[in-house]
Amino acid sequence: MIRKLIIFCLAGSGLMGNSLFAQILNNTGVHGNFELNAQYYDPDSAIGAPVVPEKMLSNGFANILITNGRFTAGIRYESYLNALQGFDPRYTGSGITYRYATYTSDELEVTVGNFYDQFGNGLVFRSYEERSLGYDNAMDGIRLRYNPLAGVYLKGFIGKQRSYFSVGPGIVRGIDGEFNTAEIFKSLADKKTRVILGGSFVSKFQKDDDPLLNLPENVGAYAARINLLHGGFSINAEYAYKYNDPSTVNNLIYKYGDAIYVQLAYAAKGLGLTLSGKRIDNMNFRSDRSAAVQDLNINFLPALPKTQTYRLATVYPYATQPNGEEGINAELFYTFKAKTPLGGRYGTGISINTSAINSIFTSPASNDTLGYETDYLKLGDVTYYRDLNVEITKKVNQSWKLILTYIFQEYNKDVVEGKPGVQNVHAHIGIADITYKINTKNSIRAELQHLATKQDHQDWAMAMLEYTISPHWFFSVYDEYNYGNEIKDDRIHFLNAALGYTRKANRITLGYGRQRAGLLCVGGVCRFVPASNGVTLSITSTF
Amino acid sequence: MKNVFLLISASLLLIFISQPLWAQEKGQKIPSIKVKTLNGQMFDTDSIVNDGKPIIISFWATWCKPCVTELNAIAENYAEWQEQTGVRLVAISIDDARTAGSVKPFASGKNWEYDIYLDTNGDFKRAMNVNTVPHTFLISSSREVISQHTTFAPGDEEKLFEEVKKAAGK
Amino acid sequence: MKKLIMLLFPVAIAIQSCDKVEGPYGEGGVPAPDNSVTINTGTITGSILDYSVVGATESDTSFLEAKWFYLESGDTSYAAIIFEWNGVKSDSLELSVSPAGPVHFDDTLSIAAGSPYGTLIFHYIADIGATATGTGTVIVTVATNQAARTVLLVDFTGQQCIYCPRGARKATELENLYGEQLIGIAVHAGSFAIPATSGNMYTYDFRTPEATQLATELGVQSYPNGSINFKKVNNNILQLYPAWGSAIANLLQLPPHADITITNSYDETARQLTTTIKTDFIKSLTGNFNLAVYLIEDNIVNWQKDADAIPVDNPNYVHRHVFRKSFNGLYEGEFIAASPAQNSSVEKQYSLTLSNEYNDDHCEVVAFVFYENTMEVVQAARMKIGN
Repeated sequence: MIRKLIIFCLAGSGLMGNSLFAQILNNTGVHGNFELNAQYYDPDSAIGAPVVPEKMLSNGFANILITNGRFTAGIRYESYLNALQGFDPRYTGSGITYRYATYTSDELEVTVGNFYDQFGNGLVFRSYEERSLGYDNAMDGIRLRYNPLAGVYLKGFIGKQRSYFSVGPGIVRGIDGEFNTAEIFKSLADKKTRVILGGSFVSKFQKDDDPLLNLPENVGAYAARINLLHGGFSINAEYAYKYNDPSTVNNLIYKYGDAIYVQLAYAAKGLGLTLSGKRIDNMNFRSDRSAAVQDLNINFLPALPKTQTYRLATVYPYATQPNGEEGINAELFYTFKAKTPLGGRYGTGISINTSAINSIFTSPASNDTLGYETDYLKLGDVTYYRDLNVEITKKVNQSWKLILTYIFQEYNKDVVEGKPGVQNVHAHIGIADITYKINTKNSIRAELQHLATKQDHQDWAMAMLEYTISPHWFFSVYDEYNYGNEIKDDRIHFLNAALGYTRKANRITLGYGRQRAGLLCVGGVCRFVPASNGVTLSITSTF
Repeated sequence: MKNVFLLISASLLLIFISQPLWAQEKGQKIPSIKVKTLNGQMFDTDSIVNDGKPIIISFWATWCKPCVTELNAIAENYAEWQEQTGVRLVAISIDDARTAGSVKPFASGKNWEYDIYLDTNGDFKRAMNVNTVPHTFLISSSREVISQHTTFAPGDEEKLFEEVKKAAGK
Repeated sequence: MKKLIMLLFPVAIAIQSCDKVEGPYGEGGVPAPDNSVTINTGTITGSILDYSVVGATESDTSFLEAKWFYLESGDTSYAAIIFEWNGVKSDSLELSVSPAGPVHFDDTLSIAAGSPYGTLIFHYIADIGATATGTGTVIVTVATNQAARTVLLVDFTGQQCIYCPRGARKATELENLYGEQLIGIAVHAGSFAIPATSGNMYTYDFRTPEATQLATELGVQSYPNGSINFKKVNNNILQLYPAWGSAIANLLQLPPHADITITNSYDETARQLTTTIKTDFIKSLTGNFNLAVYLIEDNIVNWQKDADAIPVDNPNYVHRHVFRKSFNGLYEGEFIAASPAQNSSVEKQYSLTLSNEYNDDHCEVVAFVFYENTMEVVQAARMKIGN
């Protein structure tokens, strides 16, 4: 009875307090976004697409964000009924997977609940999401960001990491400080050279009840970084060290781990240059020592090679080897000015990017449990990856635009995919991306790609046509054809068509066709993403 | 009976509390989020101002081809747009540690004149509810979102310019 | 979903040998793991030469007597020894050890009556003054004739999966540690178990429809992978091999809820196997229980990729406890009891003619009782087919 009375009163007050609420809520913003990806799977034995018993699989999520002055709160609801092929099957069911509240004052920002953050380049800590890959290691706990003086930025957190619809077993805590000397010391504010220093310490705790081994329960890692800027030059360097952390990925060895990352860059009008070097040794760092693939990573080891977007350039994707790798990357961006011989009428852009990655030098350790010993000055002798990308962008005239790309890749399938004995793949890829603007509203884009290799599945050719009607419609059709495959039966066409409608921040896409298979190998575990054939539907919206 | 009563009361409550929310038609105000400049300085998005003139905030990444196409297309006309409307384009890069270091050389190499900030942690992206890039917002003089669009097709920049002109009162 | 998982594994019946234990403490039928440990500290080197565990009479299980030997070469030093049985420690004995030869001591330790399988740990500390010290432990599994809780370990593997031997080695290590308390089986499934279509390597097909179905139902996507008693740990029904030890250790601390006795009768000429599984419920339980029975073949020598071997392709790899067939052809095991009362028992009998492909010297029957709805295993057992 009392309950009824209370609810009635509340409802009544709602009626009367409408205007009061209106005032409070006037300052409150409610916004969010929404995405749904669904696919209907047809079994297709020719390409090895497995039978999907549910027939239709879908991933969906919605974010809702509420802001009111200094206060922000948000939730995300995810639904996998069931998860699309290629996603870990532990993504199953629906629920609220992300919720937080943040209060910001002038100097201090406090977040409780889930949050994403990173320290420096992420070598000891990075928590982030990549929904399209199903990657999400959000922290669940408390985070503080403190800015006591100008130029001093401190961060601290403690929490557990997200593991699908629950949290991992390990507790992670960390602290980071970033010091911008130009802001701290007024005398340095006007100098041309600016120095930013940073340091972090992260540790994790996981209980050890292993009957055979004595595993460390607390594992710490620290990192120090410096960012030096002088006009157009900049140096960004970070060193990280991790104490012994036996885990699945490193086969339970007790060796320490470390990583060094250096990047030199120069930027001037029309010219950009970067040179990066990286060395990683045993830097797998997870909040569950028996996690693998994409679960529960505490840190982030960025891959050196260029991120590829063209389809045939992603057939051999390199993934950082957390157990050990060293490499360099050099990149050049240059625009030849318009009205010069090389620049043509509108200017020509050229970008060159090359990487070389090898294993680290290892020698047997004095003690078996340490795994191996390494030497900074010696180079490992196994080639992991080489590439050279040359891209020329040219606007020919008001209607025609060209992007021509040549890529050479040498890819160590053995190490990256866990297929020992397979030779390295040497691939030459040529891509022509041509856009023709028919009139102000209509344009058509064609992509012609070719991958030539003597290894693996040999040669591929791909052609794509995309027709867009600004601002709402687009239609595309593409075909990937493995014409050069040694096995005649595997010379298959992967034909795919898509239609999309976009309006403001809403987009709906409908596709139909075949998708080729892929493989995901991280650390000591490999996962296979099967080929598929069917209808796909994708809806995204921001409100 | 009891359940029906509860349901009715709860619905009434919900309707009347949320009514003001529905009535609210304002776009999202630019939130106050810390991002970094290309020089590594901390920058608060609160400081994205343009003297009461319209602002375009475009989320992009070096690896996102349509984003680069869009920013190139606008770059060709940027000077003219600025002259006519005083608009200012702020490009927020969501490149993470893998590619963030290339943002400055990349933008310099393309001769872009925009204000570029790095949102490597994705805080600003999440605060603006951005799912995929490109995602471009047109901000009014009162720092609220007037319109937004995702994806880019050649020719879209002209539509954007029409909206900018309208926002600038031209 | 659970039903489907059950479908995969028909009742696997493990036959329990009649001589589970001869006497209260390991003699003959007890697993004798290789637990010699070497300590290298400064100039001290030593190893456990031998140990024996002597008990009282069969009926008296109240004390445990242990002797052990410690050899040391180097300077005179002192050693302190403590041994521990199921968590109870003896007093520390200190003795001076001369460099010459073995030293032996004996001590007795009272233990709780009615202990099932137990873990006997020798802690030894050697010390040469201030220059070096060394410590170590030797862990021995000792069986008694009481029912002991057993745990089922399912290892998902494939012959072309280079990291899978790590899981198999871990399973063997744990089997050596826990002896008959750990029933491990290897399920070959997934893309890494697909045999090669050309050449002479990896052409044998270890897969079975039941195994493939199980891997699919549990959502196994990465290899090697495993499940302990199909019980969720940290919300995951699958665990990677470093987590197996602690999951098993935690489960084995629980008292047994059921006891499975397997009796095999095998006619070699006809290759006809008849197996009888008797499940005794030690405790009353709520829920519906199924019994799954499998035919397992141990020690199959064939190709396996091994990341830690040189060369990686090993033609003489010994595949342990390979799942061959589910008995009685039923997918969901066989329902045997609904909320059984304490001390109730159910007996089931199955027959099978072994395929000529199987080496009957290496075959064994594995049976386990599990909750029909969650699939969680209550008790498992294993018995070789020929006694």
